[in-house]
Amino acid sequence: MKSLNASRLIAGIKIKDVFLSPATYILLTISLLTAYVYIQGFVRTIEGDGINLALHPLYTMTGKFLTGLLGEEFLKRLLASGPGLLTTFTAPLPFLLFILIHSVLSRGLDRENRVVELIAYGPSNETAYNIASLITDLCLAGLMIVSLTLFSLTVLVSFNLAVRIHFVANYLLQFFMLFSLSALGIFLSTMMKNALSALFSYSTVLLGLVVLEVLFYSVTADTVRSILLPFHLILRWISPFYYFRLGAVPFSSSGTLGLFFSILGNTALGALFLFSASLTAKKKGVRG
Amino acid sequence: MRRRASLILSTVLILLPPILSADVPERFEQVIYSIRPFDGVEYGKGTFCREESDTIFLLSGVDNFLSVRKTFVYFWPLTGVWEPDTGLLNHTFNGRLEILNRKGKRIDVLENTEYTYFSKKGRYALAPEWFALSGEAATAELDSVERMFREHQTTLNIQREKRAQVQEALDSLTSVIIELRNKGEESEELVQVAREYQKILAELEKPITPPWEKLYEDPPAPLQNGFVVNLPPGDYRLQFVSDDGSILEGSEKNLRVFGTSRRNLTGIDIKPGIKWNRPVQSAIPGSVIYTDGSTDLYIKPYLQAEVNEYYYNNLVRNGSRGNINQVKLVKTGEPGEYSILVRSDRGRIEEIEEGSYIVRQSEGGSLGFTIVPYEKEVHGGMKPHLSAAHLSILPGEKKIFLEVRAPEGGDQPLPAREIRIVNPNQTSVFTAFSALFPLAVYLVLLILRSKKERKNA
Repeated sequence: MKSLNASRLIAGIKIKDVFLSPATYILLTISLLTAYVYIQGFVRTIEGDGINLALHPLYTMTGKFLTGLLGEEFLKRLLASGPGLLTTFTAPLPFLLFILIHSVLSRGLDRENRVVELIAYGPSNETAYNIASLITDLCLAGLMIVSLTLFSLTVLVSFNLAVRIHFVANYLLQFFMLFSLSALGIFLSTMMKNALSALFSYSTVLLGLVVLEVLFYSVTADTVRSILLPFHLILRWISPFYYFRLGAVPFSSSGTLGLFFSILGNTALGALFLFSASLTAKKKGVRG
Repeated sequence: MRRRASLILSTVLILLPPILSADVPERFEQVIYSIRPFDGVEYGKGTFCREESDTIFLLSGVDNFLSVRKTFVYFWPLTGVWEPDTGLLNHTFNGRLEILNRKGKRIDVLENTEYTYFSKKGRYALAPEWFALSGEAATAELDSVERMFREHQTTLNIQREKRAQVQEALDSLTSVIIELRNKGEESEELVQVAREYQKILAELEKPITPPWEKLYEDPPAPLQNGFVVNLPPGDYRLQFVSDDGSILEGSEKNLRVFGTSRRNLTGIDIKPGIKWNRPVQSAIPGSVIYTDGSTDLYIKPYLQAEVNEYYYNNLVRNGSRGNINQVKLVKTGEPGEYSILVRSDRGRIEEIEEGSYIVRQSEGGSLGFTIVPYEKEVHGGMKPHLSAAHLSILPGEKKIFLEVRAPEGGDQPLPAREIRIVNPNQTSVFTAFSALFPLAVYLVLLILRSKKERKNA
């Protein structure tokens, strides 16, 4: 109970810090503008007989990139009901990166500046601090998802574009993916000595997992696929992106079942990372 | 100056020939598999599997045809694909094709056989059904076509002779009539007879539809030699065993036989009035059709099935790219009689049915065409250019819902489609500015904080 109260208090301070930072507002604005640009760009591609991606440079580029990487069918499914689904992948990126980098850096700096040590020698422990970091990240993720959902819905409706349930479902899945990504960040920064090494290892792991998931899912030659297969078979279990893909449309067509497994997988993975972070902290000690 | 110019010119001229000479692609002699697969719709152009490609992809439960040959292959940079060059070398081998399971156990031995394939008018007028025959059945089918051809030729000859006879009689009658008229004598009776002759002539000049055109959508292809492969889904190995019992080098391949899933899904072909010959497909169930409302739409539902994108792309063209994790929707046929229930946000509720249309080139100097309903009496000799349900978009309509309705008792799934009419030139200034809302919040926050700090100070 004590620890929970401490987490609440620390989270409160951290959230206040984040909400007073101009970066939060600037990056949220960039995310919203990205959503707007993608939705308005889609409107420009509409002709008498459907959509023609060549009519807008952003869509020409995105279309070519996605077709080359993930195949023609993927692009068709992505844009089947309009630009809504595409924005769920592009618009959150700036703010999502901000949350993750901020989370790992601030935690690393707190460790370097012995804030964590101070907390641990006080009435609380490092686990409470970890949970507080996670709550802060989830609050930011919540802010991002609510803002983007409401904003995109307004723009889509104002342009008479369709809104489908996958659109909201994808944002929901991103929330759970961010939970496990943030927990992974906490775990890695517990293991590292300073903020920069934590950020470096976190970026490397994330990049590796993204590349593996994208390459495995993408249009690849059989030889590349056969090389990747053993890595993917093992590493996918600790990849938040894999669980996200299980439920996210158009990667998955498993419907509610995919959604359920995606949420379950990322929640379990996040809990596992948190638990591992706790164990590591105990083993290393607060000065480790 | 002049000397320098002439020097440059002569250098350019010396260098030009190699630049201008055609770049002939290098040819490689290879043992290839010629593949004539059934792609779910038809026996198309076919493809081939060269030595570098280790897997052949085929659909399960249908006849596919393979043959092994030695030929040249070359890479054609303009299209970016490999092509066979059978003009220079096209050597086929005598032997049998062995199919092994994954453990290497022989499960089937195929003998080289003659085959043909053709399509007949299907259950529904525009949906042909494909048939493949091999061995004696193939020869019998082609014999029957030849017989039809000969009979048709005989009929044409008889018609031609009759026409010549009638024409001759008419010509002599015309001369008699002219003679009588010149003499000022009565010729009305003969004129009546001449008119009768003309009617007979007009009848005889009508073209006779060849019997095979009534029977086939695509007539039987000429007899070819190959192995008929019809297997259940699974992974197999293929090898060609020559008559001397040796395995032909380069003939060992993997064979992936795959099936379709979720058959009888409904897709919609949309032919816009302005580009009627370039249909746009709305294949994905639940997808939205966007249009700017500038043209009428001609809508035609079709049936489709799901296949693996990578497998299917490689079935159509071996060595293609594709995403193995994605499914692709391919057209498999057309539903029977149908009607489409149209509902719009403006309260329109109507049922539209398939009609036939003729595309008429605009008269005069203006470019363009108009699409008019097909009328047998007016457009007698012509075939309709377009068969679809005509949907006009009424002014003010922003959303239209389509529901494909099959006849009573129909077993087709009938998902609805939505059409959204969107003005592509619209801009929403308010929503664009609302993206700056977080910055406004931060500004307010700054002001409040500075006020608070001033108060505290």
